[in-house]
Amino acid sequence: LKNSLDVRDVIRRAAKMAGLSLDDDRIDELGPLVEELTSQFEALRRLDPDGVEQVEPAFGFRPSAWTNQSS
Amino acid sequence: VDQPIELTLAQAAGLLADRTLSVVDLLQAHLDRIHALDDRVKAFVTVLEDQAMAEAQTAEAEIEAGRHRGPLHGIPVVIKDLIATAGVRTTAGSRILEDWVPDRDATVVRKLKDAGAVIVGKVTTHEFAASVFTPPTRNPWGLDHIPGGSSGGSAAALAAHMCMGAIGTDTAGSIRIPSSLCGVVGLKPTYDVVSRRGVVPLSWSLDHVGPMARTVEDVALLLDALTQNPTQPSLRERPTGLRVGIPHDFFFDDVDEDVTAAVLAAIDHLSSLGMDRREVTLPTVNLAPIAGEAILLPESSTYHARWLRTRPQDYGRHVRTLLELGEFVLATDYLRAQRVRTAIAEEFSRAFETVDVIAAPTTPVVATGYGQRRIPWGGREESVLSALCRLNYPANLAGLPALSLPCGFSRTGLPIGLQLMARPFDEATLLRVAHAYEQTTTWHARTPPLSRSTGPHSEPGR
Repeated sequence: LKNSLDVRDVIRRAAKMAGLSLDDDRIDELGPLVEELTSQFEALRRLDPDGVEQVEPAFGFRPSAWTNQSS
Repeated sequence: VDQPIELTLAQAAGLLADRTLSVVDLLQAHLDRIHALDDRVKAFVTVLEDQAMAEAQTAEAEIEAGRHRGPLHGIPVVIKDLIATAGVRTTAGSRILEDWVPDRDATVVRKLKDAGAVIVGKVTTHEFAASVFTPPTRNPWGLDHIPGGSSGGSAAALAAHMCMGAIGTDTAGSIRIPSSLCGVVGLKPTYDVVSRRGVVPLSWSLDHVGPMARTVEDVALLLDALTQNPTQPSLRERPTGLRVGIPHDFFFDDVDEDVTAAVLAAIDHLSSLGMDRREVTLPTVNLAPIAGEAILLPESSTYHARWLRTRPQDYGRHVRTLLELGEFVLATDYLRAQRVRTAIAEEFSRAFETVDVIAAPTTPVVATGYGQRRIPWGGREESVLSALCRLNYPANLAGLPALSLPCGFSRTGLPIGLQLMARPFDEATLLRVAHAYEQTTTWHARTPPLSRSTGPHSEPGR
């Protein structure tokens, strides 16, 4: 319950800073969903580097990445 | 020609070119079909009856005068209603844009018009293309089932023979999903091969525009009108010696057994056509749906930021929730998702060093019931939205060309789609393999029960 309340408070403050109007009903609906989504995104950390090896972000489709590799 | 609506686009093109078939008669047959069926299928937002008839008369006059523009000249096509059409309301399935009348055509519409196609109407999309249900449209293979989406109107109109070609958009499967669920062919080309200008965005880096039709050849003809590189000639080449890759991990996890059986049988069939089959490994592709969400949500929220602050009540509840969620995705998660995207693209690149196409199911299930929101998988449940998008995200993230074509039916009589993916810019190989499959099977020639039992043309299909 405490975590859920914290998330709602974070959403309320973040929404206010972003100029997004969210009433309590909206915040109640979004709270658990934001928590669930953030939890799912934990899986994306699998590629976090252990050392110097880095995977660079793609920012979309890069034709050069393919044309350079295909013969 | 007794039953013009039963022709393929390619067949009709041949008959129009040699003036065996009239453009006006072809259009009228489709308008009759729309009048007979669309009160139940509900695929159309706007039927452009007068405008289409004027275009048909112009096309007919041009062909009679010897000015034949090519295979799309006089062909009735429909446009997803988030693609701008000059002077014609373009709603994106939303209240936000319910009164928007663009002053110019999207590039894809202009190209279709330049090729002489007749625009029959605007067809439904899920609100702002943000989900897969596309209300109020129904699946012609079972009116109590969804057509899929977000290009649900395009697929339903094709399956019900209310047009010969359609344009859809695909951010997480929105061309391939409804194509699979409605038993038609849909191609998501390589990223940006077909222009996105004039198309209401959902997620800039994932959005694709592409053609849909009832056969692979018809899709190739539409694609060739939208791009500069003709693929249609490659259809004449057999796929003998090409290599088909099977990604057993992820793409076959949590897939309905009817779908798995049909897709594996389709891969066996490709082998019987002389293709060499090989296993491929894509270790990071299981992260594609999560990475896709981490990119799609904030990109779409950014596009909708102004309306989300000034007219939030005008969004449907589900879409509003998705757009609001996108406001709370951390920038670091967005960036991690973009790094996963790099890894997935590199894995596909390595896989395509050993194979020419990759085959998989398009969707793990056939069309779900209208109103159904969850799918049970043993001990857990998955949302219909998640399930239908799951196997489609990888090609959107990597920008690969990917196509869905019919490869069977479930025991409940609903279509199953085979997804084929190829190297970027290699639509020709993708279409070549798909065409060879289609030419030696009959799934694409089946007609929905709705088509057989209703309307002025009551005879079975080919």
